[in-house]
Amino acid sequence: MQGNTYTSQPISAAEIPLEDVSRVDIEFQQVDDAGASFEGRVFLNNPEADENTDLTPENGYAGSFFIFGHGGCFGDEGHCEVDTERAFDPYDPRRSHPMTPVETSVEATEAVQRTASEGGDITVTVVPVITGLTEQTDVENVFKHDLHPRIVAYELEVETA
Amino acid sequence: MANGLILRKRVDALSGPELAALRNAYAKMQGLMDNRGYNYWAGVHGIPQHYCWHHSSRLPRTGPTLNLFLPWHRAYIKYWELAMRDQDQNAVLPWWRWYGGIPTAFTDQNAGGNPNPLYKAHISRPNANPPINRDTRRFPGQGVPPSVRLPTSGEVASLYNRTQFLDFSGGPGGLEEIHDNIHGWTGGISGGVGGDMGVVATAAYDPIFWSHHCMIDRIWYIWQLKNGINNMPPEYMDVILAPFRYRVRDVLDIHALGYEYAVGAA
Repeated sequence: MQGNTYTSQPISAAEIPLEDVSRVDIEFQQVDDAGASFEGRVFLNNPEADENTDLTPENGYAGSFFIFGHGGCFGDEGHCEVDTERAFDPYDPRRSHPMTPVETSVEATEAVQRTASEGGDITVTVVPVITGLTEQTDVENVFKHDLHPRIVAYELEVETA
Repeated sequence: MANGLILRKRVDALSGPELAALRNAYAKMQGLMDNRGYNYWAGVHGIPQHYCWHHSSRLPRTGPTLNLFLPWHRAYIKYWELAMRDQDQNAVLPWWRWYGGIPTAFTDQNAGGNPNPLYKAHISRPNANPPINRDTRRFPGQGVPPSVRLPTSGEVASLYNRTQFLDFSGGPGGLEEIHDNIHGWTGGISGGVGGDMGVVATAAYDPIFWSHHCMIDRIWYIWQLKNGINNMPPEYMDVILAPFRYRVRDVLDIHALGYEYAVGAA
């Protein structure tokens, strides 16, 4: 069972360092965990990927992240609506809304370097394969926000005398 | 119990009387609908109170991102164990060693001629929307992709080499990700119906939840022994783990919380 896939805007491969890096992660913002639990399968330059796509380098598979979702809303109207634009209030000690979208990442060193070495732009596609749900879960619209994927490269550690 | 500490054990290493005390405590809690009862404490995690911390969240609402998954759940199962022992002073929360599948203590439908309170519980949430009034469901391994599975002991052991708390807890392939996978595998999906362990809303109503998190807590403890009891970002230390009367710094040393894990294989 899969929800609707997400595909990013093109990311310029020219900005991704290919040498002297120890690790490359793909970070995601605004990942919705209010609904289904799911495995987010990440593919590079493969917007047609779906849950039946083999998880191989040839298909651009870069790794998976896992989200333990709330399962949908069991409250009254408005209970699970998150005001992400709410202004900072120094007198409000409460934690963020439990359904606030989360940040997550996959380690994708080889996949990113391989794709970047081919030049051109990179798109990031995420296929959500459902792993948990309730009768209140919208299994189609798993992603409610732009995930703003960001490719982060970590430099090799420099040895000192 | 050395030095007054409670000694938590592996569930399939419990003696007959120890398992009977655990079942007695769960059965009594499942019969209580007030704030001593099973539904009350399960409801702290998901429906209706939603206090739990998973992944990253913010405190305050527009502040920096925090990952309090491990400290919050340590506080939670400590309070759970206290509530459990209020019902039977001989009951101690055991851990579920994932590698061999689900132990029979949780799969036997009956025990001692009675329904096994570790097999299922009744969810009673008349004020939920829609209301919930049914027994918990579990479809282990069904309807989920092969990547959603129980970990190997080697995969867990490799986590002990991660020296930074956030990398160990929440990084790619970290303990929280393994935890998420086990929830998905244990709950499963059958005929379009999800098992309760598969989502935050109902996970804590499944009796196996508590021993799953006991294992998570034990792995964190073993990691702490290797990488430092106080290995925690400094800005986390004074964060309050609501609704419990603990700050993060208060839950770092399990001996200060009154328990210890029995020596055994990872």
